[in-house]
Amino acid sequence: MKHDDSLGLLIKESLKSLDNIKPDESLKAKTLERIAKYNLTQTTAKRSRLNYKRISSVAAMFILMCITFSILCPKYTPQKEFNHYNDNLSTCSQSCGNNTAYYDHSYNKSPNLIDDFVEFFNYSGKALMTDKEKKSTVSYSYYNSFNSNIISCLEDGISNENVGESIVIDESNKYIGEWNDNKNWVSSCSLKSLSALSSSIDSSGSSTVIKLPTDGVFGMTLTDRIKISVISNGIPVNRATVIGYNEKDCAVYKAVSDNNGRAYLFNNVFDKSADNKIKYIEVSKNDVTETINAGADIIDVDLSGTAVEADEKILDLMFIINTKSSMKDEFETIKNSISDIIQNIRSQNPGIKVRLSINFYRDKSELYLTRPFKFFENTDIAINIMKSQSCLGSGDYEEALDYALVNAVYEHSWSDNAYAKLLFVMNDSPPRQTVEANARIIDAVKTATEQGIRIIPVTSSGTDTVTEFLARSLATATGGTYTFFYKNAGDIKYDVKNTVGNFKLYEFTEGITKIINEYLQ
Amino acid sequence: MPKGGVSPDADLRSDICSDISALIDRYSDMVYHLCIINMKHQYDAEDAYQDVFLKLHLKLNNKDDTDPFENEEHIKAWLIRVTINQCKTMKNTASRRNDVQLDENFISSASDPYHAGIADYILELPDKYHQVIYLFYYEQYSTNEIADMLSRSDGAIRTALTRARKLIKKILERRSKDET
Repeated sequence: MKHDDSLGLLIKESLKSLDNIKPDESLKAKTLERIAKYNLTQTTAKRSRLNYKRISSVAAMFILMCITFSILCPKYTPQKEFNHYNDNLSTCSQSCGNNTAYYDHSYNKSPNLIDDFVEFFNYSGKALMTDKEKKSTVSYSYYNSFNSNIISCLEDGISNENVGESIVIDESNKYIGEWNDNKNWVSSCSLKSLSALSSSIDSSGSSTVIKLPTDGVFGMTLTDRIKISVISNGIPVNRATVIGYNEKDCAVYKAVSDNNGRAYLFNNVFDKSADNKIKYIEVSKNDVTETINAGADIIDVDLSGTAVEADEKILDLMFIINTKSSMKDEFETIKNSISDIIQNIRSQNPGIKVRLSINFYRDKSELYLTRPFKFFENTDIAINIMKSQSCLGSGDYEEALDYALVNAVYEHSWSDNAYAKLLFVMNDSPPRQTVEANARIIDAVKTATEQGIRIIPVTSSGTDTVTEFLARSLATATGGTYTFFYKNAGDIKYDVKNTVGNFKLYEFTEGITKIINEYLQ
Repeated sequence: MPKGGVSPDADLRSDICSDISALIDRYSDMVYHLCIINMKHQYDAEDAYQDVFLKLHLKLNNKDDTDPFENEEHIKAWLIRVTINQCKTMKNTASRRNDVQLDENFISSASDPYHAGIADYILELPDKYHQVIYLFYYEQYSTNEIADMLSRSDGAIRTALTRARKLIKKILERRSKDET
């Protein structure tokens, strides 16, 4: 039946009006939330139904296994494989001329260090790949040799803590490295040097020139820092408000101290034209206020009289995740780890109340720009939401990180009394470098800093220097820390971080748990 | 091919089918339109929308039926049938809200006034007519396909379509008279 006459065409044309009627993004989010809740109730119900059956079947299986095992494997020795592994490790270590897999370059050696790394890791990889468990041993500590600016910083400012220790890498796991610019701060170094480095060399060690804005990346220049340590009767004060004022008594930078009593203020971060140099600092908590002149880089403030935290510990934990195709591996990793991370946090911090929010973003031309979800005290709902999502879409390199950050900071109800507010950002590419995008980022960073929200980027392995610079800037400005995925020996060429100092590798779940714990304990 | 049913890439399709959120993204507009035109009440339409996708999720995770859909067209047709049935069920329940009705000019307010006005009239037709009109002209299904989806005969669909057209024609004639 065809109705392509004038009436049919008119009806068709009229019904095109429906194209403009689309469901609100929040309706999709509510639907996913409902599905997640449904899954949760089903799992609980199923669990209790199966409980009885399971106990009896497990007991039966156990007895059966014991009998089978005693018949088939009378001489089984589990130590055998372990010894074999140790043999391999010692062979590798001897070949490297070291007692461990630690690899120490001389500072002046350049520029074919990448090849040396590859050779070294290929060797150690080969030596250990024969192991049934596919384990390899690499060092988690590197020195940089690409740029003299960085090296001079490292020589002065970086401790060699744990250098020489080794880590066993299980190739079925994902690993992250951590680098905290605030902890490894050296005056006029660190991020400034990274900027200098990025103009001449990219993260893979090639000589590609990456153009960075001269006034810092994304409108932030984090080079002139004041570190404040707030204590009360010798105990660090968490959540103290720290405000830097300029000569005209205008508040130019506001931060909140962390669980170690530390807060970081920066001079002329967002606006270099105005004279926003901090002249004095006001630190306050619970009606106790101290005012100090900002003459030094490191200032201790004693807020004696203010009460130290004794109330309920609340952790506001948020993840914003780029869900484009390129993030598939990383997204699967967090999906598989998130339950364990939350469980670890709860078991290692008894009595803690965790509020979890999971958010996703892509880009303007994709299915969605941002897909936010509120904080859930029942973290299983948020976890189920995460598990219902997937990575899709390709397109251009830049993503809507700026929109995602603004949404994360402004559109969510962060607790006023949270002990720690942590915002993990999982991405592999920067936002567009436009005036509007920069403004959104600056706005989000300012507000996050003022509210004590620590941004903790988790970048993919092989991200470019611009992305790394932005990630480190976000972490540094807000008192967070920078983390990055680290691929295994086969991809080492792209994973040697030549822009940071000695870093430590952690298995993903362990690393994220450790980082969260650092803001709680 | 009916509107919305696209994806020549087999890998992409298998990826999409395994993920409820991707399916929601893909068929969100269609389900929402059907809910709105059937329920004519925004909140009820939103409830129906959520119910439909929850049913889809259950269908995809039904362990007794490991391969519930043959292809994307199958998913789409299933969604249309389930949405219409869901709306019918909800309309028959006593718990329907009476507080916030859909704006009479819901569509008019969203696009160019002339065609949107006509769309408003079309959607005001009785359910049995506007559903057929929507599926035939907007989703571009054949009368046979619509008959399968709505569990009616091809003849019944053709009759409904002809009567619906007559009604629309009358409405348009009355409208042009009123304007002159």
